[in-house]
Amino acid sequence: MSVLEISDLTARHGLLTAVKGVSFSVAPGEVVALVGANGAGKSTLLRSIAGAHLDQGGRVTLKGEDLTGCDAHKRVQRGLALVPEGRKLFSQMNVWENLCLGAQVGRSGDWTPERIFDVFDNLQKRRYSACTHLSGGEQQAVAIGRALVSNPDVIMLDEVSLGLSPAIVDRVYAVLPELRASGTGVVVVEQDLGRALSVADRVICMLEGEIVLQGRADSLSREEIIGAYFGLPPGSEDHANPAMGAMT
Amino acid sequence: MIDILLQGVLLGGYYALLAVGLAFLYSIMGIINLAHGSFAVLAAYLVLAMADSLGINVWLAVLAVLPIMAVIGALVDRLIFEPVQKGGQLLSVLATFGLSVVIDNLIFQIWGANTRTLANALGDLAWASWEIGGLWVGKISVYILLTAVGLLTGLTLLIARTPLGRAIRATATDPDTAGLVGVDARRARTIASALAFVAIGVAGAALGMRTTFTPYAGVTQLLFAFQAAVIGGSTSVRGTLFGGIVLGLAQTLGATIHTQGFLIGGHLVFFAALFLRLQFGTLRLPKLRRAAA
Amino acid sequence: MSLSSPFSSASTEFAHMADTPTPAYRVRRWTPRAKITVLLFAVAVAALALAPAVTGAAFMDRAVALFVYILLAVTWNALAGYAGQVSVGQQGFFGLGAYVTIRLSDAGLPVFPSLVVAALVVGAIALPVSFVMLRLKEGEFAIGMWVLATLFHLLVNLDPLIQGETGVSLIALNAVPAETRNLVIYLMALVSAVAVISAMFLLLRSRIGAALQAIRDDEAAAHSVGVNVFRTKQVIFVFAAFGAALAGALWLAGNVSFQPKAYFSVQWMAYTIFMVIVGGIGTFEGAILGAIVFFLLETFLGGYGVWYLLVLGASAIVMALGFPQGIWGYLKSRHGLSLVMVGRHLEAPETKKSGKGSGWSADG
Repeated sequence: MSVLEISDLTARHGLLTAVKGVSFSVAPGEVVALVGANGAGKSTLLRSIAGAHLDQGGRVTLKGEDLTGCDAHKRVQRGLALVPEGRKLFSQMNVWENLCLGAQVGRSGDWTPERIFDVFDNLQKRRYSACTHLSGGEQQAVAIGRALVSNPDVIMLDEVSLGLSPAIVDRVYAVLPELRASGTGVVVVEQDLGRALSVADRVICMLEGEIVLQGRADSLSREEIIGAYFGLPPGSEDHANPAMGAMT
Repeated sequence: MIDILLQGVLLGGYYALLAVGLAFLYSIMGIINLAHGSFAVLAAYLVLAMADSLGINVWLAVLAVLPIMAVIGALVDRLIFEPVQKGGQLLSVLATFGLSVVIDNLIFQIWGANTRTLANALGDLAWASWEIGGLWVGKISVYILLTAVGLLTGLTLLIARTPLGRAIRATATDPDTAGLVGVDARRARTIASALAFVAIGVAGAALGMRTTFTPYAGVTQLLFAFQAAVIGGSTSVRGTLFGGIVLGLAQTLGATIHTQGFLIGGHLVFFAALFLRLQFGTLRLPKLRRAAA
Repeated sequence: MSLSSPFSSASTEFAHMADTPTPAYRVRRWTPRAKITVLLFAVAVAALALAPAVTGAAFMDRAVALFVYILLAVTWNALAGYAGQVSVGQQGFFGLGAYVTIRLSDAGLPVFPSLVVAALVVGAIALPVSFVMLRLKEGEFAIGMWVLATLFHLLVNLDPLIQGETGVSLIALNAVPAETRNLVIYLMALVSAVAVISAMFLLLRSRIGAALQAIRDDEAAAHSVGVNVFRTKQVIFVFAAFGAALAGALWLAGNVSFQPKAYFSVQWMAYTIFMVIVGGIGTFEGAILGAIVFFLLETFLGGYGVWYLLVLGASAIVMALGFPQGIWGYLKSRHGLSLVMVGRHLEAPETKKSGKGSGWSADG
């Protein structure tokens, strides 16, 4: 039984089709990592699922409820939250206000602004700071917290580790076990392949808007994923690519 | 001299009241509503119509007009502000200007060209005044100033402290992300517009109580509102009280210098404030709306 | 699209009127049509110049109004449609044009030259004004200009010669026999309209035209590639002030009496905006077309007074909301240029989707 079901999703940017007929599902408590090169359509896919990118076709179903055509805010109210790329905090508001904004969706659950301050304890002293004055890691924590306090059934994290040091990324990902335990579905877009494999139950690899490879994280080899990542034919993983440095 | 200053401050209270709706809409949507003054005059006519024709008490008439203004504000948002915003500033200027032409002439068509006032409906209050240390202070002007302070405080608190205020601020900064956080950005905008129009309604009632108005008075009211808003920092609701009072003082002082000096004094201070702001940029308080949003 | 392309075809005047499916072919394909257009324009001007021989004073009176509308529409379109600065205060320059004419004439300058000199003087006044006003953005600029117009109005009222709102007449005109007067004013208005249309045309084909196009597509980008955005806007601002002042001076010549309230009225902006929006803002021909449409409407419906104004305002809203490209823009889009002519993207310079950007090739 899946909590989130995506079928045949297509999204366009003007004349360009960025996502081409993508289908996958997320089970409760499952962490799915979405990997792929820049421009593979990962962010557009997440934004389409969240309802922020409206030029789309296909179907999005959450807990059996069809969300196709729903506005983004309605999807959040139904339990589908996105932590957007680049955090997108409301810079004129302080930390607490950003969290309240997420909480005022009114979905009941374990996650409250106070709980976020417990989990990301370094935010506690920053409670009333304007978000522009926070470090990158703190900002990311607020962005994740803002999504969590809406108590989603599925949370999608878009490049949450971008620009953060590994130690801070560790802290950010430290919430995943708890989400898993509470039955929340998680979709992460992650550039760091090693990290994606270590946190995810399942890996989906996208190339040019399509899913080219998917499978359980423990059953896929690194080479397979890298091959799919760049659209290389199987067995040609010796193609050196400068971009791979970023994926170790 | 003290009398002049006092009158200037009291007049400034009216201008602050007048400017709130304009500054609020601009800070939320980035739209300068050129029909602002026309709507204020429309509100004055609506109050007059209820008080005169229906024989309702004038204060009740004001209370009845405010929800009507809110509905008008919501409708204008959906029918004009929202579609026009996708086309950029140019279209919003053109459409709201067209709207002002329509409203002015509609008022003229319905109520005729005569000069009107709400003062008659107010009875004795219209002329009543207090004597303070040898100075006579019109009660209605004081009430208007107090209303302005109250409205500004209320609106500021609403925006700063309530969930609705947060939703409106989030929408003003970045409507897309607001949606991703679960805020209904359209609804927040429409409510903001309705609030702004309630403020316009209050200002219109104040206009009718303190002086006279005609169908084409909206133009002047728009200019006063705009001047007060710019002097007060252009986009900040809080700044309008300061801006309104500076404008009121400038006009009152100007009037003592020359018979035509009333308006000229205001215009000169306006341009001085504008010039200072352009030169130093410091008079501009932070905008709610992010330029790139 | 290459910015230089509209200008590499200097020989093909009015090539922009062509309904080219692909801009690249424009130079070669539309020379014949361009010639016909120029020819027709010349014939029309010649016919109008000779018209007084067969028509009466009433015709000339109305025609002066049309030429004044064209002046207002073409120059406001330059400012709002091309430079992206939507002014709601051109009536300030319109009124100043009339006022300065009266002052010059009072000082002893012959009445007809003073009409033109007045417009030049107002243009000169507009230059220092532009340094402050053009730094305002969008709606602020719009109302700022409006405030400026009322300031001009108030200052003019201070002049004892004007006698406040009572106003004054251009008395010097009375010395000229009525027939000569009508004819000279008519011809001056005609020449003015033709001159401003031609100036606009040349302006758009010059480097300033290229700069305007760049600004309209993306102001920041234009700045970064070396376009002097501010200077370009200043040229247009002064041009628009001059045009409005000339219109005001001619209006005064046609009506003799100067009442500040009538000349500094924002009504002039309502008319102008209506003309340009209906005709097609940001299109060269649209402004002229809009002035003609407005003139016809006024001639036949002006008697309905308030209802007529109501319709004007309402159509400005409706056009802005649903039909922002105007009549000319619509005609163009039907001729195969519709791919990028997304109606909602008008030429506010900060609009990055260059909705009208490629429309330039058809604009001039």
